[in-house]
Amino acid sequence: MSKNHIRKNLLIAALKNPASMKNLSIAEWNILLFDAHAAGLRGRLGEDILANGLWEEMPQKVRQIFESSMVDAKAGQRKIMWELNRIRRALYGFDGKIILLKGAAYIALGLNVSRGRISADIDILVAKNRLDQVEDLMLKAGWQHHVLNEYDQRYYRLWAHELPPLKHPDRQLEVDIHHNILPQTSRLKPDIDLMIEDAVKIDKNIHCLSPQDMLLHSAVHLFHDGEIRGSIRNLLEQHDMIGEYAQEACFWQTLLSRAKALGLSRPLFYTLHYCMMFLETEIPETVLRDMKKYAPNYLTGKMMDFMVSRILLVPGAGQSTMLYYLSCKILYMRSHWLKMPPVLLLRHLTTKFFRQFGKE
Amino acid sequence: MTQLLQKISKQKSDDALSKSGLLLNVGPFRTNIKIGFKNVREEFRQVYKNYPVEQEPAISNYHLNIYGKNLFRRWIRKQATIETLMNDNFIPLPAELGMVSVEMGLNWQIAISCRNFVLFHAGVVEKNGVGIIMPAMSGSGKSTLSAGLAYDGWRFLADEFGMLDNASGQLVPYPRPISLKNESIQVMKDWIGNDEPFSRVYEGTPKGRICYLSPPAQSIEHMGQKVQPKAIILPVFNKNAVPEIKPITKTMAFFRLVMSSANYGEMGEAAFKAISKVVDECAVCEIHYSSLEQGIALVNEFVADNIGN
Repeated sequence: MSKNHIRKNLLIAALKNPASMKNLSIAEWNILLFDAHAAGLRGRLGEDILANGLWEEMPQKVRQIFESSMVDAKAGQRKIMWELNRIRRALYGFDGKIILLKGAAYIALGLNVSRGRISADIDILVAKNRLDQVEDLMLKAGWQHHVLNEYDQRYYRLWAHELPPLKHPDRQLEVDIHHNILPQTSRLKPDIDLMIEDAVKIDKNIHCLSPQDMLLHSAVHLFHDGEIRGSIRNLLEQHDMIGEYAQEACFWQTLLSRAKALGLSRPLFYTLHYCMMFLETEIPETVLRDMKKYAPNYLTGKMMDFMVSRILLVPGAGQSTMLYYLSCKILYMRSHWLKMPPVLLLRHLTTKFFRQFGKE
Repeated sequence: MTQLLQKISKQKSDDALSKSGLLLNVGPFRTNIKIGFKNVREEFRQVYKNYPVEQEPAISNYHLNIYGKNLFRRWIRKQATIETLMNDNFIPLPAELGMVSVEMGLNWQIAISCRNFVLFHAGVVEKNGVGIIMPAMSGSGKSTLSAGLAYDGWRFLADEFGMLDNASGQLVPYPRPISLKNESIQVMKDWIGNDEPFSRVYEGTPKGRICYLSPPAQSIEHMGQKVQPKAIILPVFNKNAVPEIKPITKTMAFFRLVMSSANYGEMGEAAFKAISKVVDECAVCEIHYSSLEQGIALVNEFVADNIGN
C-alpha cells in the first residue's frame, strides 16, 4: 500500500522523470507545486525542466512560479558563497583545515545536487582542538552568538557536535561550526579524525569531505540526527550523489569499506534502501546483497518502512492522518533516543518541558 | 475564464472562500484565498468587488489562509491566524481585524517570494503612456498621493509594490486596494467624497487606523497593460513645506530605487541593470508639498514640463 502511494506521488514522479510534468492537469499541478514548495524543491524542479528542454512545454503560470523559485535559489547560493568569502577572510592565517559540509560543499563544488537548491545556513567543520581558536577569530570579525540562553549554550558546548550558531549582524546568515558530524552523546561514534584526514582540498585551506564521507554524512544527517519528516530533499541529495559519484571506478567498494571503518553501515543501509524505494536509484545488486547484513532486525525494519514511507513526503493540505501524526512523533523520539543516553535525554526533556512555563 | 467578484453570487463566492479557496487575480499573480470568518469574507467581497476571479480551477502562485486556530479562536475569542506557507510568523489579530490580516498576508507573500519582477516600495501611476514611480518610506504620504492621482485622471498601478519587468524594462501593474493610514483617511474622503469605495475603518491595528480604498474600476480593468516608466518622483510630504520641485541627481534616484526595493539583493545583476536603465531613461526630481492638492499639482507640473509626447 505504502509503495503504491510513493509510486503515485507526483513529486517523486517529477524528480525521477521530469518529462512526467508534461501532461499534468491543473489539479495535479496544484498538488505538485504545493508539495514541491513544502519540500523546498521548486527551484530544483525548475532546473530539471530547463535542463531537459521542457521549459516551453510548461503552462505559462508554471513557468512564472518556477522562474521565481530558481532566482531565489540562485540568490541563496550567492549569499552562501559570500558568507564563505567572509569566513575565509575572518580565518585568514588559520592553518587548520576548514571543511565545508552539506549545501556549502555542494555549491562550492558545483555538484548536480546543488541545482536549484535552497540552503538556509552554512555548515563548516574544523578539528575539535581548533574550535576555540576558530570561534575566537569569528567573534573578533564581528559574528555574534544568537543563542543566548545559558542552558542552550551549555547544551551545545557539552553535548552537541557544533558550537552554538553564529550570525553576522550585517548578513544574518546562520553559521554552524562543527567539530563532528554527530552529537558527542550519540550512539554512533564515527572517527571524525579519519574524515578530516581524507578531506579533499578545494582551495587553500578550504576543503570538503571525500565523496564517500560526504554521502555518509548526508545519510547520518537524515537517519540519525535530523528530522525525517518531509526530508525527501535530503534523500534526493543522496540519490544525486550516488548518480554522480558512482561513475568513478571503485566508488562502491570504497564506500562500503569506509562505512564499515567508520561504523556507519546502518545509516548507509537506510540510504540505499530508501533511495531504491523512493527514487529507484541505480545501485548494483552485489552492493545491495552485501549491505543486507546491516539491515535492522525484521520488526524494526518493517516499522521503519511503515513510518518513513509515510512521513518523508509531506502530505498535501488537509491530508494528514493519525498514522502520519504518530509516525512523526515516534521517529522524532527515535532521533532523540539515538542522540542521547536515556538519563541525559530525560534531563534534557525535563528542562525543555519546564522551560515553556517559566521565563527564560 | 474570469468574472468580476461582484458579479458572482454571494452564495458561490462565500462557498469558495470558506472551502476550496477563491482564486483572486491581481496584476500578474493569482492567489488561492481561504477565509474562516464570515465577517471577514463579507468585507473581502466588498473591498475586492471589482477584481477578476477564476471561475474554473487554475494554477495559483500563492495560497493564503485566514483562520481560527481552534474552536476557542474560531467562535469565542475570535482570532485570525495568517498562513501564507512562507515562514510567516505573524502575531494573530482579533477576527475583527481579519481584513487587515488578509492584506498583511498578501503583502508578505509578494515581499518575501516574488522574484519575477524587481519590487519597489513605491506608488506607481500612468497617464497617456507616461509611467511614474514614486518611491518612498512608509508614512511619507506616498499611498495618499498615489490614491489622489488615481482619482484625478491617472491610472493606478500600485501604492505598495511597484513592479519592474527587468526583461522589457516596463512597469507591471499590481493594483491592490490602497491602504490609507490615520490622517490620510479623512484627507482622501475629503478629496473624492465619501461614497467612493472605502472599507470601514480598522482601529488599533499594528499600524494605527487603517482604511482600504479600492482603486478606480478602470485601473483594475487595465491591470494587464504594462507601462513605460518616464519619471521618478520622490515625494516628501511636510505640513509646513513650501511647495517645490527640487532637482536631484540620477545617482540619487538610483539609490532611492535600490533602497526601496524589497528584492534587489535576490534579483542580483538583473535588478542592477534594469534599475540603471530606468534611471537613465527617466526624468527625476523630488517634490515637497504640504497638501494632497499641492502634491498632485506638482506631479502634473513636472510631467508637463519635462516629458514631451
